[in-house]
Amino acid sequence: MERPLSPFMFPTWYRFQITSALSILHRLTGIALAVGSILLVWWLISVAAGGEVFATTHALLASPFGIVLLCGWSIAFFYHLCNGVRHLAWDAGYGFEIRSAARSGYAVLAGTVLLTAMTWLYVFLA
Amino acid sequence: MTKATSLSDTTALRDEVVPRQVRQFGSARDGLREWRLQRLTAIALIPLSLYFAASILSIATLDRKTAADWLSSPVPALLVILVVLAGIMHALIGVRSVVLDYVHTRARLLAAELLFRAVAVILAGGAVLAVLKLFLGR
Amino acid sequence: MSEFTLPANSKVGKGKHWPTPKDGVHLKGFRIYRWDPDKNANPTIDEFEIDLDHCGPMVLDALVKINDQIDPTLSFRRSCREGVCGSCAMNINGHNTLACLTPISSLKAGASRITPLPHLPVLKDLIPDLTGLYAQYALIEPWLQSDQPPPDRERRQSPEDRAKLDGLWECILCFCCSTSCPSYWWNQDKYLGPSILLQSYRWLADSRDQSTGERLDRLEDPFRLYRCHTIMNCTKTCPKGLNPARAIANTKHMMSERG
Repeated sequence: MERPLSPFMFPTWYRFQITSALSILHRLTGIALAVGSILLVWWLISVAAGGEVFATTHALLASPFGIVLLCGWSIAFFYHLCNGVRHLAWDAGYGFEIRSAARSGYAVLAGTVLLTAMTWLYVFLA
Repeated sequence: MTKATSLSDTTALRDEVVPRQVRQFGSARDGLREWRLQRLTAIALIPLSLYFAASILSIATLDRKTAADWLSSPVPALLVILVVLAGIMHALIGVRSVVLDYVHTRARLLAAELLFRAVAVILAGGAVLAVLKLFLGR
Repeated sequence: MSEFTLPANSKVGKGKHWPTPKDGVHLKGFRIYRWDPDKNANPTIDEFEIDLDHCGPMVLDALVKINDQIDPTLSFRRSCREGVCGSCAMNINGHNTLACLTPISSLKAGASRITPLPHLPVLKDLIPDLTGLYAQYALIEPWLQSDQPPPDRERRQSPEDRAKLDGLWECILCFCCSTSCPSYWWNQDKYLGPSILLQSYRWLADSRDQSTGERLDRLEDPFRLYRCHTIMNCTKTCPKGLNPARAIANTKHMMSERG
């Protein structure tokens, strides 16, 4: 007979907090951006190749599916950017009090929403 | 049920075995370099990625010629090469760290490592070649 | 791969509902994790109800009352009942803390769930196996190291240097922080975890200690130190209000200052 492992997982056995929730979000957006960088490099290559390749790529990006993809990509980008700055502040030794860590977390969320909204407003108005 | 001597046996054994497992081969004397590179690329990417995002925002929605013209001038070409290299380096360290957290088999770790490095080199090479082609106008 | 779900032998089943006390006015329910090494069965959650009018104010009082009056086989560690020994660390309503410092009145209405510290082997009921954590504590050599011969009196330290140890020496090694840390869940055989790294920084920050370099050498490792991703669960959960996340950041900073 083996000893059981005590229960551990979010959110059933361990409560999510703003800090841990944003931390896993940082990781998820990072992975999304890493995968998204393939698309980005492909776009550069298509510009260089021109002709048919660029036309197909452009059509894909301008399609509803492409817009949704780019929208998700922009949210991930701005979130990872804002929270990355928060992480750099921690690395420099600032913001470790629980209250300021929570406050900076909400600021990151607000910043993400604001920057993403501004970006798409610009795209649709311009 | 057989007599539960097994549990107390493992309990006695564990006091010898666990400290040995914890010490293992000692520290790798490594980790600072990667940690620092992750932070340095992060700092570089703040202005670089914002510049790149702002640029393609006004270009990507337009035709190919505008994008190609943009990359044929030296400063944008250089900055785009830098953002691609810093971004891929940052991503490579990031995904390796994720894999190190969750994957505990030596063979799978090695396979993931090889895959990530290969993809990173191909992406970096492809992007740099594309920008150079546009910059040199060929 | 890391196991993100409980192994088959650790899945928690429904347990026994113990009789409700008669003519109690203020009843409070507790759903408590049970596992008995002498029975060949999976762990369960037992339900208890106690009369708060005949119980002390803290969660530990409720556990003692259950052990004394309802089920004498309920097992948990406890000693000082005032937050200085660290024995009664457990997970109460999804949050690690000390049972002796948690007022029952601070818990949400309805039944409260009590489980052992997360992601450790269970010895019995609320008692986890801490052998790995103690072995990791031994690894950091938690004592003052100096080449200077011992002076006739104590080793002196300026008030400023002494102040650097505040927020570190108070740690009672209850391991609430380490067992709240996902990084520690996935790699507890290699990552030292917040409690051990805070203890380690207590010696790194000590002006009288002369083994700083060796201590940093021992920590410079992708697993031992750098599995910390500043998730902050440790600081959030510390029942003594300490800040392991900051101690780890300071350690990384010292590492970086070496070159």
